[in-house]
Amino acid sequence: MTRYFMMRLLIIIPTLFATLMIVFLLGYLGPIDPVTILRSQWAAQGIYLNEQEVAELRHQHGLDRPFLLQFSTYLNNLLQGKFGYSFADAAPIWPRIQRALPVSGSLALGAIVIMVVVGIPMGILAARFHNTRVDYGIVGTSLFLWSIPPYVLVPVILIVTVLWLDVMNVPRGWKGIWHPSFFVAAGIISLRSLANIIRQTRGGILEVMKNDYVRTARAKGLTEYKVMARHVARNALIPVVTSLGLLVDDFMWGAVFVDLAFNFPGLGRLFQQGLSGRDFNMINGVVLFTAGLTIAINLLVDLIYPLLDPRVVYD
Amino acid sequence: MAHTDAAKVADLQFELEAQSLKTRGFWSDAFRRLVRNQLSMVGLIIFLLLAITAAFGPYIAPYPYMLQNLDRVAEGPSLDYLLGTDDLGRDMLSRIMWGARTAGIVAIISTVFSLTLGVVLGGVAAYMGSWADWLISRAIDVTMSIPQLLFASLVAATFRKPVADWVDMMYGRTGLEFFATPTYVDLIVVFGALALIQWPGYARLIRGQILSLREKEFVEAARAVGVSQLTVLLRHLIPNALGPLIVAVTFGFGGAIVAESGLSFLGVGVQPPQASWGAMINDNALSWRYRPWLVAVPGVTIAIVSLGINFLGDGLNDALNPRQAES
Repeated sequence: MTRYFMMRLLIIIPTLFATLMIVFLLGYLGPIDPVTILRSQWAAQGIYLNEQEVAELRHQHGLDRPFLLQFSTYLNNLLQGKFGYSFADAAPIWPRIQRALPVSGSLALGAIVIMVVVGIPMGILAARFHNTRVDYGIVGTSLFLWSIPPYVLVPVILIVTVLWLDVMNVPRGWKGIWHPSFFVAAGIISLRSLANIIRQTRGGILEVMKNDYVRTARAKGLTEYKVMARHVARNALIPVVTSLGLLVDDFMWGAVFVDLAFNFPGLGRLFQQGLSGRDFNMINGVVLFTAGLTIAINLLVDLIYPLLDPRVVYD
Repeated sequence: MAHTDAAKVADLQFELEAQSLKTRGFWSDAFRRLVRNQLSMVGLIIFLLLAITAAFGPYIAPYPYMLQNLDRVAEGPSLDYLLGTDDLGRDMLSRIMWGARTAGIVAIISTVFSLTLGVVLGGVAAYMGSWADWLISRAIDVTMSIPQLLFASLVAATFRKPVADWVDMMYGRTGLEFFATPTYVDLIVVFGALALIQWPGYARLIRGQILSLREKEFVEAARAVGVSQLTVLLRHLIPNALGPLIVAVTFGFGGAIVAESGLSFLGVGVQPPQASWGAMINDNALSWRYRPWLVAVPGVTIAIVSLGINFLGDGLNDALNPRQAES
């Protein structure tokens, strides 16, 4: 187990390195030169730089150095927790990500709670009433919700709730987790993973129920609850845990649009701001952070497997 | 004697049935299962509608997509303009039809790109094993660790200018009309970005399929009787891997349409005035309170198309992978 954990950590290093390399390379190739931006910003304030001053500035920022040197400096900075500075206003990026974290974190937690509280029971229900109307209803609805992209869902929900039903005002800005806008937003963000969880739970349970040991458990007179809790649930949870690896991807897919529509100061909004201002340092910061999170969650998923299924032995 | 006659008749019937069963291969069985599924038929109709609109939309659209009628700006649906006009007085229905072409082209080409890349790399990983497998698997891990939407928009934002410069240079060098319009820049950038996020899915599927099929008894049997490597591949591996692959491609096709609209919505996909459903939502996002149909029309279109393709994919999954569907 320890050995496996070490191996897993060792494999993370090249993965993380390659991810960093790709993201840095994209920023390096990016069409926007930070010095040009600085120059135009200063020009707007009446300070004009000549060619020599520009070259000096370039040298100061280390932009005239070869690619590998720039990359190693970048890595070194990252190891010290410095994500670089925004091109737009020269503010450091890491504090911004830190400030966005409570918002995005609570949205993500809200989405996870919805996923677990609604998704897993729905999946169990669909499996329990396999091939009945309940099953078709649940599976059809989840496919329906999974298909509609968030940038369609957000305006449609706004039109329905604000214009037609008039049950809430236009949600603008972050008003804490007890405001209705939080529940709507967390609901929209959770939809994709919700559909996935329902599907995985249902499939997992149906797969496990076919096993002989479930029949044996029933034959020896265990109550249905005990059969489910002791024999089925633990095994059926494995695909559910696997799908947790997609969590960050699903979350960002919703968060970018939800933050934009509801004006939440979260990670999605940071990314979207970076994108519309072509602020590559900001984009890179968010991409790196979320990629690191994904890798960490995948590691966690691999560590949960042996807890659920003792047959999974790593060596 | 009557008894044996009856038995004979039963035997005969059984044989007939067996014969008629024999003539129905896997694909015709799958087709029957697909047609029986009403939802997937609805999906198929929506898919065909999209295909027809993408192919012929520009010819049957009532107006050109850029034509402005400044006397009829931001109107609701009317007889002249069936789905209304936008803030610039352009016909919504025509723009939806042109947008179908954008969506269709992007989905087809990016699916072809990513599928080719995925099948080649997945196949190489499974066949060569050792370091090639390790390298390709790590590449898949890396690509999948970056959230897809973020990765695609980062790539699209980064490569727009280099691609635009390249297209410009090609125009200067060749003088071809093809390179004169900036539309192709957008499309090339979006193809690349989508192919980049979609290939790992296909590669992983193909690699997994080949690795698991190779261990199956029927492949071992074929090898044992001396069937050549190539024939095993063509006869046994590819046909068996085809079912899951078709399902994945269908979902990937729908995913590409949704992702293209998402990129265009964020402003790094297809640029105005070119018609894209995602860009249409974004263009009109600010006026949703006053003219909700401007947002609702493209939104509902994307939702219907995405739903239809996913229903089709789901039906194909049930039809092509019956063993999985039973569970």
